[in-house]
Amino acid sequence: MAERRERGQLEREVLAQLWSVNDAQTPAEVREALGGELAYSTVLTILVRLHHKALAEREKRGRAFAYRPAVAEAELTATTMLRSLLHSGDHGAALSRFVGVLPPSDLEALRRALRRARR
Amino acid sequence: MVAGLLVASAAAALAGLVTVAVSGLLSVSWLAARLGWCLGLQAANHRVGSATGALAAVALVAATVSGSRHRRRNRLPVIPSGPTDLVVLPDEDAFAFALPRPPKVVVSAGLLRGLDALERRVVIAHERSHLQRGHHRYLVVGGLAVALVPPLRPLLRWLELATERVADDDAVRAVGDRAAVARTIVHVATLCAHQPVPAVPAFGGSDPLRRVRALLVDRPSRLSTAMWASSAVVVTVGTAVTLAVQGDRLVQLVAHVCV
Repeated sequence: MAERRERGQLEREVLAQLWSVNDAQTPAEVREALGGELAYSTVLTILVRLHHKALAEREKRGRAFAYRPAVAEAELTATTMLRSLLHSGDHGAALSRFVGVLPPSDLEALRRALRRARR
Repeated sequence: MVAGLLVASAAAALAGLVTVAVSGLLSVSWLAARLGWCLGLQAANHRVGSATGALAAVALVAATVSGSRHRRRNRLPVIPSGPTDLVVLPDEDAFAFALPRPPKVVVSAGLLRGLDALERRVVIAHERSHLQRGHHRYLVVGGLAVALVPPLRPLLRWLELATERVADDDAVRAVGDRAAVARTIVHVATLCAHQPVPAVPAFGGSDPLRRVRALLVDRPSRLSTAMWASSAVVVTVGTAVTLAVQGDRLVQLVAHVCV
C-alpha cells in the first residue's frame, strides 16, 4: 500500500482510528493500528493538527500525549436528527447509505460468495 | 443515462395526464359551453369521455400531492460545516452515508469500531466517491420522478445500484484491493444485519449481494441489464404512445392559452 494518498485522507483515517477505540491512544498506538507503514512523525503531526482543529482532545500519559476524539455539541444534535431520519423508513433518497436494505437470507449468500472468491 | 430516462418518462406521463384531463373536462357540456369560445379545443374534444378525464385528473392530483410530499419528507438534516469532511456520529448503530450539503462523509462510531483500518478506508473512499461524483443529484431527480409516477420505481432501484457500483469501483482504485472492498461490503452488512430496516422487495437479491457479485465475478450481468433496458423501453414507449394520441390536444391547449 505504497500508493500516494490524497490530501486530507490521512487525517480522516487517523480520526477514524481515534473513533474506533473507546480509550485515548498514543501516536505509537495509532501508528500500529493503521498498519505501521506511516512514519511516527507523520502520525504525530496529524494528531497535533486534529487537536488544533478541536477534533481531538489529549491527555498526558507518561512522557507523551494520548489522544481521543472530541465530540462537538452540534454533532450530538445532528445525531438525534439523523437517527430519526434513518429509522423512519422513508429516509432521504439522496442519502447514499453504504449498505441499505438487506434481507437475512442474503447475508448467508454474501458470505458464500466471499468464501468462493477466497478459494 | 438512467436518470435522464426516468425524467423523460415522468415528464411524458405527466403531459399525457394533463391532456387527457383537459379533454375530459371539456366533455362536460356546461363547461364546454363556457369555454366554447375556444373553437380549437372544442373541435378536438370528441375522443375522451368525462370518466376518463376525471380519472386522469385524479391521477394528476395524486401525482402532484405525492411529489410535494416527497419533497417535504426528503429534507436532509444540516450538519454544521466542520474542519474536515469526515463526520463521526457517536452512535452505537453501524451506518455510513454521504451527505451532499455540506459535503460530508458521515459514519457512526459503532461502524468504525467494528472495522479494521483497511475496511474503514474502503468505506470512506466509497462515500467520498458519491460526493465527488454528485450521485445525490441523480437520486434526488430519480426520487422525484418516482414520486410523480410510481411505476418508475424499478428504474430508481437500478439507478441506486448503479451509483453504488461506481462508488465501489472508486474504492477499489483508492485502496488497490478488489477483494478488500467486497469483504468490507459483507462485513458492514453483517454489522447492520440486526438493525431494523424497512423491507423493500428486491429483484435478484439485495443491492449488497449484487455489488459483491459484481466486484468478485467482475462480469456485468447481461441478463438483468437486458431486462432493465427492455422494461425502460416499455415505459418510455408506453408514455410516448399516450402522448402521440393526445399530443394534438396539448398543442391546441398551449396555443389557446398562449395566443
